[in-house]
Amino acid sequence: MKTEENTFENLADQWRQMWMDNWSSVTRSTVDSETFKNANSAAFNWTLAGQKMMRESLGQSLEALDLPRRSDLARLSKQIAALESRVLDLQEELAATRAEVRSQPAAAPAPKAPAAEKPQAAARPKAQPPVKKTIPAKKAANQKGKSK
Amino acid sequence: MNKLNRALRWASLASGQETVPIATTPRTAIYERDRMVVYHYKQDRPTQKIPILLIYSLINRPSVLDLRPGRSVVQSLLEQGFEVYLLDWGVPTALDQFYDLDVYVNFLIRAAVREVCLHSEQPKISLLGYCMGGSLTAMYAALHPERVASIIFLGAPFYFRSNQLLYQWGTDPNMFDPQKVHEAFGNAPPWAFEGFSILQMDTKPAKYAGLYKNLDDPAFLESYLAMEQWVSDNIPMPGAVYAEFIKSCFHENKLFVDQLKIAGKTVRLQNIKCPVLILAGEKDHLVPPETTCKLVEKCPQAETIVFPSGHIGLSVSGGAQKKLWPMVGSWLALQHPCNEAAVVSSQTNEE
Repeated sequence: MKTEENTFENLADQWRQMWMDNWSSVTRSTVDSETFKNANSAAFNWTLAGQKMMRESLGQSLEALDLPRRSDLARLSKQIAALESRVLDLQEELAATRAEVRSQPAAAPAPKAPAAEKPQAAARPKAQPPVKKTIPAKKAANQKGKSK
Repeated sequence: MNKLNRALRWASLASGQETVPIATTPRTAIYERDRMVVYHYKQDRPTQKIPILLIYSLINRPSVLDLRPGRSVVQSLLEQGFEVYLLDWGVPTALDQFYDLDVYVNFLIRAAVREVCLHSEQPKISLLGYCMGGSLTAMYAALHPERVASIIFLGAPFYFRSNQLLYQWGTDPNMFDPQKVHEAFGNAPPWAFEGFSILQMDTKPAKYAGLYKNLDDPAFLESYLAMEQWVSDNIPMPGAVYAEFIKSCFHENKLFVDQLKIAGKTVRLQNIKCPVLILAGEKDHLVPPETTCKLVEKCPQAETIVFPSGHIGLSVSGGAQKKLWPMVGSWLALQHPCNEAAVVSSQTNEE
């Protein structure tokens, strides 16, 4: 009895394997074929044409109601992304400028410094941070005022 | 389990009635921009200095990189001491339909890389680009190389010419016009990517027969369900980037021949000067080795590993988890040795 069952199961297994092999080869040859490719392409293009028509008529209805289309809002969304990208550019530029300023030696002459500031700034030691330059400038201004 | 019960259980599993939790590694969002989120994974024992940002394709969800414990690229990198970040694009809506390569490459990826640099306090980071995410990563690195320490390309196409069916269909401009898809639907609908499933129609019976055979194996079922859940979870792709990518890359192969322009700037792959590792699946029918390994012609410094697996197997197969990802970790550690522990660990892995 057991042998019969085994034989039946073996036959079923063989049949299943055969069916799977056939399925694989038939499917592969079908999918690979030019006919399948063309049919697939035609069906897809037909769907696209139908969908486009529907979308356009919906857009026209919205326009008639004086409402924006989805694509109008999407264009705004892209413009916002472009602005954000520009803000990112500016953030990067700002960070680079800050890093550059930090890395510059403090003794480097400031191009737009007031005339009264120049001799004192030049006399400062190199390691002095640029922010502190303003203090003697004020002092210099005061001294000027006093001398008047 | 009697045969009727087995058949019922098989039918329930095959029809996707059951699910398992996926992408469960703890993480926190460090940057959000509309639907895009950059996540940082919890790292208890960091030993590597340079963090790595994972950039996934726009076609599907990035959960495949952290599918299940023991089948997770994220987990493997964390165990090797890396700080891991993930760029999750989110699910696009109709508002994103005009997002093109310029938005993705020059803004979204750039913003994500900047945020990871700020969060990790590193001037440069490593990038891992998977599939189409790898192509986008290459475009970004070619245009903005300043923050890129090294790159790993995982099943990423650069040279869009192959005998595989996807390329026979995808490179034929008469097959369909991607611009028409964009015009008709706005975003490319998820079912437009069902073509990937048709490509493997011949293996479906074997898959379901395998499921029936392994109904009593909980580990198999867990992996099967996780994978099916991820595979069936297609998302739409913003129409403009879809049309631009299909036309410039598939139809005209512009990325490889230095003719792709993004916002007026030509993308030259040879501008990628940092260390590069290319991972290709030997049996990959979506991104076969010839479409990815050819990058070596543009970046001679690139190293290549062709692993005996398919496209998804590169990230989730048991073999890849045991052999490939420790090799990747060692390679990364060797490119950026930062402390003794890192160097010793990479040498041990090599042995």
